[in-house]
Amino acid sequence: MSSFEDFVAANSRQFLRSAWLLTGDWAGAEDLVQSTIAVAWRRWSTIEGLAQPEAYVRRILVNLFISSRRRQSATEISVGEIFGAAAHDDLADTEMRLVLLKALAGLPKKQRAVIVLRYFNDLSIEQVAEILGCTSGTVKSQSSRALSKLRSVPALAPSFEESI
Amino acid sequence: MMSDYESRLSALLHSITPEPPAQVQSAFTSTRPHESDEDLPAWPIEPSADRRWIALGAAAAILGIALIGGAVIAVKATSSGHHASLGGSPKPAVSGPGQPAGANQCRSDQLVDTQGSYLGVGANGRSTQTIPLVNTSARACDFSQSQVVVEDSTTHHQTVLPGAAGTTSQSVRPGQELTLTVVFTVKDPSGPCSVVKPNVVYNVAEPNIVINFADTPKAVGPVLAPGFCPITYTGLRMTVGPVMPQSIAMPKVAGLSATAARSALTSAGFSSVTTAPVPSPTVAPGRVVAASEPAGLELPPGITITLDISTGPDTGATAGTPPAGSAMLPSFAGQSETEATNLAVAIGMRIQIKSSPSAQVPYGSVIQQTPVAGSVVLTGSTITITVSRGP
Repeated sequence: MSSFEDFVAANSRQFLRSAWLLTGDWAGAEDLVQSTIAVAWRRWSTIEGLAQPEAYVRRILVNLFISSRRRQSATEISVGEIFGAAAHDDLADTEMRLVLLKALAGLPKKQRAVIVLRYFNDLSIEQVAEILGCTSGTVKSQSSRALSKLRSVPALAPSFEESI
Repeated sequence: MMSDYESRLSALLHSITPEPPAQVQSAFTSTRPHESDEDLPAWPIEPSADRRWIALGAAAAILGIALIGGAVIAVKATSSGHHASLGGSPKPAVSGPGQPAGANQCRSDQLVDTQGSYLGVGANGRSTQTIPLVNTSARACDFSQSQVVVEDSTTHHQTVLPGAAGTTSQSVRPGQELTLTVVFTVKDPSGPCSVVKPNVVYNVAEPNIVINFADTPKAVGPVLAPGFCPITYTGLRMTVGPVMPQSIAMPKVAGLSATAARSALTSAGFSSVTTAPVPSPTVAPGRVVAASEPAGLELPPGITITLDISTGPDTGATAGTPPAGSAMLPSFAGQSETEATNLAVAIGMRIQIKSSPSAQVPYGSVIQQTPVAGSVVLTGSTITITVSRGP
């Protein structure tokens, strides 16, 4: 096994989950991660030597997502979506996922990326800024704009009050 | 540092984000993505090598061509090194370090993308239309032996569509169930088998047509010969659902008889039709005075259309064609004695009932009336109706 294969095997789960939050479905997530890995592979000799290769690859992933022109058409049904839905066990969770994905889909791509990086990948504002290639101030303003939009989604409100 | 709200959002994101489905995850963690791998013969040249050669066929939609799902081809390559290429680009120029360069290799510049719309379905009940339904894409050296088989589950009639690339279509009826089998025979001179990870995207381009999918696509495929790897997606059953036109133009029904109006509406596609009796001095009884929607208006097919059916002139109406104190007589034909009496009283007439045997008109129904329907008579006049006594 090469370090690249190890790296992919070790990190693909997290990449896929992040990509799912970004793209909204598994087919999109898979495409995004595939593209990311393809890009990463080309630069692997550089990435390999980094202290945190996954941070660099995450950066590829997020930037590919932001720059992608692909928008899921309303008339496109991917198999994963159809069959994936049945796989979820808990109905409440499934509903919550849909609500959350819908809310995230309502955000501009960059704001969505900020939310995922900051609150799902648990990165600091500085780390997010570095990934997105912008200033901490921009991350803060994008983040607060996104948060206030998510806050205004009524279906999300109760879960925020219940949890913790 | 984080507000409560932020912490809760973070907790929610962590708890709600699902684990990747096994088939998605396996594309990235397993060198043997398919169950059919057990059947794979050892690579004849360097059997010991078990390196993966990943060709990542991402969405051709990057090029904005179509709604195409990406396909991953994971090839078991023969020697050390990996190869990754980003799908969607016409010439995959990516080449990993130590990429095999033997004569039998499928070189990166030999890889071709293929994509096609395979099945068009459509039928809106009146006219048949075809639409692209299934788009597939894959990447390999040779797709010459690929085919798509569409089987009607009822008649078992098979349509074999040659080639993995290109577009073809088939018209189907609503309610028809089809089994779609996509066979990619991927000829890859570089290895024993190009294992194609299925990624078939159903492109339901027509919003009017409901496609219900059953079964998960499965990649199966016995190995034909070294270098050939048929990947079959089978069991893609789809049912063409009811076809709902988006809107229908309201036909002109004013003046038609209630029955004719109803059938005109039904054949136009409105299934819900109700009637309401209204007095009308100008429209003959039993005919449509007005409909609830104006003729020519585009309407959703589910809407309920109410037809105002004339009962003849209103008793109280003094502004109608008949002069004040008179009324135009409706037709009592076919009504029961009670109905006729009620109607006569309602329009301010007296009624006299006779009976007569009749083989044509059912017992108790009005055979004839005097004066005849349409006559203008003074209010308070006596109308004589003859009711059938049966044969």
